[in-house]
Amino acid sequence: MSEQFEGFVRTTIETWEEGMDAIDRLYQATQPETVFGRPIEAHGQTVITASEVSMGVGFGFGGGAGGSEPPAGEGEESETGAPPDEAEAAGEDQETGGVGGGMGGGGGGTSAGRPVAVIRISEDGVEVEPIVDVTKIALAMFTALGSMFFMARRMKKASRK
Amino acid sequence: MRRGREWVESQTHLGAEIVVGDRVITPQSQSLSIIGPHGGWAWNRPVAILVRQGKETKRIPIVDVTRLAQLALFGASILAVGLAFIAKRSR
Repeated sequence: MSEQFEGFVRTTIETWEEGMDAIDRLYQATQPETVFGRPIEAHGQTVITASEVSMGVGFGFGGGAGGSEPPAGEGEESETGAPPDEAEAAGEDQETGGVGGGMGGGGGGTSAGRPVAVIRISEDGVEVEPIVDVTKIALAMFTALGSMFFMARRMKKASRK
Repeated sequence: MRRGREWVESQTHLGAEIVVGDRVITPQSQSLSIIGPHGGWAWNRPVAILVRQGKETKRIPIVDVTRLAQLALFGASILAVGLAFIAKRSR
């Protein structure tokens, strides 16, 4: 498949700008160069591959910050009656004021390609040879037959009641 | 960044011309893209090739046999279930 397709597959997204760049690269994927391969010359023929491609990307970033007020009466004696420094030293769990924050992000993507046809150009003419994916057709056939069988059985059961 | 583009776009594109001997081949593709603020999806498929030889231009469609077979099987299963349902109701 084409360089645009490979370039998209090898994308990493770490910042928002990179995410937007990945979306921009989706537009490049809609160009004909993505689905039509480079012409290859062999044995007096020129061969061009044609493939169907689909790709998707999703990402999100988020962040937050918060602070807590210092406990009322800072500097006062603790519950045990000890001064704050001594209470801390004694291992008392006393909340102190502060600011915290964090941010994170994530993303993911998918891409798929499937050959559809081969274009052969020779002195005799131009031929488009379709590529048949027998496995996919067989899977679709089994799924269709299975669903038909399942529905027929359910209807038969329902009519008996 | 995306500017002046639609969120959902379906377009037919013509690729760069490929010259082989006295023939000029122009690939044609069709794309569908759905773009949101946090991601997007794009689909692109070959549609046809335009072969220009002299003054004559011929369009050769690219048929996706696998997709057609899948759709036919899907349609057949829907039709079979529908017919069975109608037959059961008419009894």
